[in-house]
Amino acid sequence: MNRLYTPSTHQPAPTAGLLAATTFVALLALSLPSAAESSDTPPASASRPASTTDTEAASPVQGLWTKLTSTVSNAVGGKRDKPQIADLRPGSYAVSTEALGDERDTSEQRIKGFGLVSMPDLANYANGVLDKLKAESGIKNTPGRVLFVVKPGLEAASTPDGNILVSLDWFNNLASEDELAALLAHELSHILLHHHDSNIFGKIQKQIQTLFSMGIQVQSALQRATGGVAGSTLSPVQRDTLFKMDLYIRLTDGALHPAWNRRQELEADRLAIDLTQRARYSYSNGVKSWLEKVRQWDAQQDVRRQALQLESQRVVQELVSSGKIDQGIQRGLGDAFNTVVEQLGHTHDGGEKRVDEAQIYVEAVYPDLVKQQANAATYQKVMAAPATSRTLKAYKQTFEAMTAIESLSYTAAAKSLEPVLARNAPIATHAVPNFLMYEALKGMKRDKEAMVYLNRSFDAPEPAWKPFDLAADYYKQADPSKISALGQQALMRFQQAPAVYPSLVGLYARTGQTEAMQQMLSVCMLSHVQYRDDCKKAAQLK
Amino acid sequence: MAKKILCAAAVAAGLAIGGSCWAQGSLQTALGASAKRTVLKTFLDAEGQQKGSPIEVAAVAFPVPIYERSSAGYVRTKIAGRDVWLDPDQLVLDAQVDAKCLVTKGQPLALAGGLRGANEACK
Repeated sequence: MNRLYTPSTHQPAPTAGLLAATTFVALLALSLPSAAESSDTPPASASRPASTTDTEAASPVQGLWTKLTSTVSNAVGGKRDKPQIADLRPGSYAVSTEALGDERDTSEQRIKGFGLVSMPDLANYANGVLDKLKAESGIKNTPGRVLFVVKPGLEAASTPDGNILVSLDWFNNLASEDELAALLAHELSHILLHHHDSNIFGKIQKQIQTLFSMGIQVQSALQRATGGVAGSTLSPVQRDTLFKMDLYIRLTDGALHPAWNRRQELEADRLAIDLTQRARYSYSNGVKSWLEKVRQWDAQQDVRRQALQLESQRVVQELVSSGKIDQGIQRGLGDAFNTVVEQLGHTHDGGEKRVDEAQIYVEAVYPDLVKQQANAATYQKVMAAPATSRTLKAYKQTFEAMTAIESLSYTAAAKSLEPVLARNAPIATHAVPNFLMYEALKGMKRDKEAMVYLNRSFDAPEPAWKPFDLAADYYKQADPSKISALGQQALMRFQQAPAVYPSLVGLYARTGQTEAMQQMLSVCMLSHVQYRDDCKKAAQLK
Repeated sequence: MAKKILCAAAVAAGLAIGGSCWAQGSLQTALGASAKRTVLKTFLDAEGQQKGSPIEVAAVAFPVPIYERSSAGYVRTKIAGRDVWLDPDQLVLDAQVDAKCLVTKGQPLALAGGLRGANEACK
């Protein structure tokens, strides 16, 4: 395991300027916006005073609920009879205020989930389709490329840096270049419409709350040190303000931002239609059939969620009938809250509504739409190329092994992974199958053999986060003094990308490195507020 | 009858149930009319050249099987016992998806770091 070490580098802890910011922050806190914003502005914009009227204080839940539901319904929908592309200003692409820089953005994506996978042939093809769509946008120098994400399920996303992330399973489910173009055009549309820039509103809210809380604590400490009267804890008014800020952030994160996102999804679907039409892709066998797949996938997820809810109801009933009434009520209330947030928190409308909205848009904007044949042949040829098809097949087997490990079937997992890790197999050097084999062999008590695979997962051409977690667990038993160096190595390897902070906070918390954990937590809370809640949650890990 | 109800319920719930529920030889299933339309335009030929009589959506017992897709992109189905060609854009069609959320670990892409996704992710 010696190869894990690199010289230690320290992340400076941000402390300066907090006190000076306190007054400013307190003023800002008092001007937090109302939950109900107009449908034409992001819900979190700080343009209206806070909702602290007596009526709301008497019935805060009902008041907020009414505002939420009206905001949600206002924020989504709306007809349009001119092309969405008319909203783009021709010229050079203006870099997003949220961009990290291409290399750091790629590192950011490597940390999440199970990392990225390199598939050069498929990347060339997908980026060719993407370039064609970019050219049709009229915007020059749009950044970004297609990245393949090691993740089961149908997922795709775009980053503020312009990169487009697509899960491997999507490629097994698309039928033609036209459907691939639809998916990429949707993600490209988020980039071209600068949707990521609105993230700043949520970030500012969290930053204000963190600074407010820290400012009060610094002020109290100073007053104590200089013989003032301040206590060591927050006053009731300060606590109430923090509580309201926290509630506000939870509601905007859980309900209003997703509603705003749904509006952005609608715009992205519409611009995707414009771009694919200009690039002469089929609508019926492109955007429409892709959205029908999204509809099917969403329906599957709904069935899964309903099953989970039913299971939860069963547990509540069991608790109540066995006399553990309090626990039952508590659990029931928790589920009710989760269900409400879950329902409001959908970032995308159901696929069926999106199919409808797309069709309404097409009939209004493209009344003389000419039916195009889809280009299935080129897509199938690219997918059938040995390097690509073998890689996709190997990852399918890897996901099966992952499921086996989740259900503690280590022998079955090792058996699935053997051909994947055989000499000359296409993903034999990749991080994910190697660390899974490590976990499988550890589960089978074959620790010595297992270490070979952990080391291989570190040497993988595309780094992933999980080997760092596994190595930390190993050092916790073998030599805890090495965990700090491991954390520093992780920071370097992933170029201090923001997503490294919740992962590192969790790594330190689980392995009992309290001081290092606190330091990372402070950096996360102030400098990477988009991960504030993840970092707080990670700090509780045991 | 029980099987028919079960199949209709499964389709309504969006489950991929294979072809056994539908008339033999069907390619796909139309789940309903798209874009809140109340009338379906029909055609007498596979190229969409000759217009047929429009059909009230309310009179169609969705889901209905699609038997054929022409090279011009029109689809053939049977409504009220007669063959008709329809523009598939008027319909919401079912789709086969071979993917599932296998694992619970790891964040959905679009939930982390304010990314924008294409659809709802595994949660």
